[in-house]
Amino acid sequence: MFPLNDTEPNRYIRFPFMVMAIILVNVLVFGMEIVVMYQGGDAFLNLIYRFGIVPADIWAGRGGGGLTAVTQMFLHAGFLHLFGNMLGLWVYGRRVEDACGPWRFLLFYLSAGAFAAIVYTVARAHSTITSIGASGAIYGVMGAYLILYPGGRIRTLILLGFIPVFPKIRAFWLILYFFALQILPAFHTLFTQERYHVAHWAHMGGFIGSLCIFFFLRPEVFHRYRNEMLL
Amino acid sequence: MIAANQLNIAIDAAKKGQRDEAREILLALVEEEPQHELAWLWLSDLMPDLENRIIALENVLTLNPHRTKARQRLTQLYQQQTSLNTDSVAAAQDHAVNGRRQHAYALLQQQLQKTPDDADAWFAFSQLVEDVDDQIIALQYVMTLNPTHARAQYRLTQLQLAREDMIGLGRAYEIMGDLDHAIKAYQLAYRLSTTSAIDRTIARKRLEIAKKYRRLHRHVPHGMNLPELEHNQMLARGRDHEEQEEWDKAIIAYKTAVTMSTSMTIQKIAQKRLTTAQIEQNLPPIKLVSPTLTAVRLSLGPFILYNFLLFLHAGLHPWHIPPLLALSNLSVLVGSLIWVIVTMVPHHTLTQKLLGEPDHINSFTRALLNILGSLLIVLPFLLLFLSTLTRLTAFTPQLPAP
Repeated sequence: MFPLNDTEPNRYIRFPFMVMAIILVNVLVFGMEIVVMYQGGDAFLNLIYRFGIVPADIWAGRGGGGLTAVTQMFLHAGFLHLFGNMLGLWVYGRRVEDACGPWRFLLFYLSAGAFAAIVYTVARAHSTITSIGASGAIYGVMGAYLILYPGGRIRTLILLGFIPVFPKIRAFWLILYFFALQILPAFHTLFTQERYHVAHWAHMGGFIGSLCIFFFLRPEVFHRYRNEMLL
Repeated sequence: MIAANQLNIAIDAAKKGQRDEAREILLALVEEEPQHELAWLWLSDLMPDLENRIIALENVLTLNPHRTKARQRLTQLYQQQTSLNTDSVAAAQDHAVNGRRQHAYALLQQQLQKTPDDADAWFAFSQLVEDVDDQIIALQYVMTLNPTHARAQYRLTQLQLAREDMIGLGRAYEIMGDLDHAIKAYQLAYRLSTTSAIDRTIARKRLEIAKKYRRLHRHVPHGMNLPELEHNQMLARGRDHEEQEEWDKAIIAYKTAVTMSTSMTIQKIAQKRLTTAQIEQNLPPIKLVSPTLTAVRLSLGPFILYNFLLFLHAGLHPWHIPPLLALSNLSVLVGSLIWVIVTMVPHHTLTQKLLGEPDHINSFTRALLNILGSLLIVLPFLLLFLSTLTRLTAFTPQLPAP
């Protein structure tokens, strides 16, 4: 199941400047990663270990600390990793940015990503494996979308064998489906300390961190939310 | 099963006060099932006129002669009918005055079928019919039956005079609300060669106005009178109350328009507006958000981000946070508060004390406070960034073994 597009219109802004800016920065940084990768040797590993989240380093007070919580959001391990995250940002981020305003959306995005990093660091305290990617922040944006627009309809691609269908699914079901996919693996890693290639706890952390959306909403949106009106 | 459903729907509607709807459902039901005793029983209560109530109860007793209460009720209705016959003209006039023209018309027709020589009934009838020619005929018959009928004489004279004068006739139709006939009268007045130039101009102007007004009310079927002024006023009054959010008064006005109007269109409009007003009445009051809450809420955003980063920077050990960076927390908070107050909440009392009234803001002070707020927010982040850079330059990551 792949979300493709949010079919509901914006209310306040015509164009999601900040979402596009974040996507652009991610793409540029990925381009830089490719250049570094082509340099060969340990250059790429150096980059992602220096600017990614390594829980053991965080706990020991080594490395970039708080800065890495921001830099790790813009690093990606591959094209599919980048594409998947940016698609999620595009689908869910547009209306969340509309509800906050561009700059407050950026602050929220960074906050959700930082909280995701905190939760990941706590859950995988002894891990020496770096974690990179925007998915913690993306899950934060998804959580915010769920809070603000639970009835929003998302155009989704579902493959029935080889037949693609494009139904519109309520955000409530779609987002909870993606969140549910994180729960079992996350707790599995907690109890078995088994290594996964996906930072499930970062996703869970970002999702929970989306609660701080209320500190970034436009006054009008907060007023409408409080009065149970359509946002 | 279907009949039982229909009956239940009708009963629910009747209990909610939607008598017309309930009646229509039951009439459809008895048309399909003339033996439906319960439907007839309910109809005996829902029919607007006495005659049909009697018919409904008679049908009930035909189907089930043992219904004692129905029999008692029928006896009462027969007694009412007898007393009404003597007063049916007054009742018809009462119906007409209250806008129930269809009921008045039906009552008078019944009366005239029973007593064709009732002059008062004919006079009341002349007041109900729309066409002026029909009114004249009715009034002439009244004069034939009772040559001393003063009101009929007066009204007949008026109408006959108006007939000679097409513009006057058009005006008379306008006053009665019959724009279709008014337009015809004005058109005729305009075309007649005997009309003077002045009258032709007047006819043309009045024709334009009448046509314009007719276009505005094009939803009203031809031949029907325009809605009576008082019911139209009820709708307008309801709208006024709605705009003032006086839902109780709006509901009363709309209910009046629904029950009193003889125009189906007005009834439908009033019913829709009534439903809306009832929904609005039941909505909880709007919860206002104070500017202080907005200021505090928005100020906490940058503060939260800074603390998350700081927490990570300190290795998730709050006691390891450098004092300068810890103090910078305050700077972020104060800076956010200043920035939010100056830019987002112009009506806050603090904003007005600092900058003046929203319409006369001191731009220089505002720009200064904006800069101050921004600096207070950005500097701690810069400090954190510099602290991190220092650590990074001395850091060598432990890469995993190949």
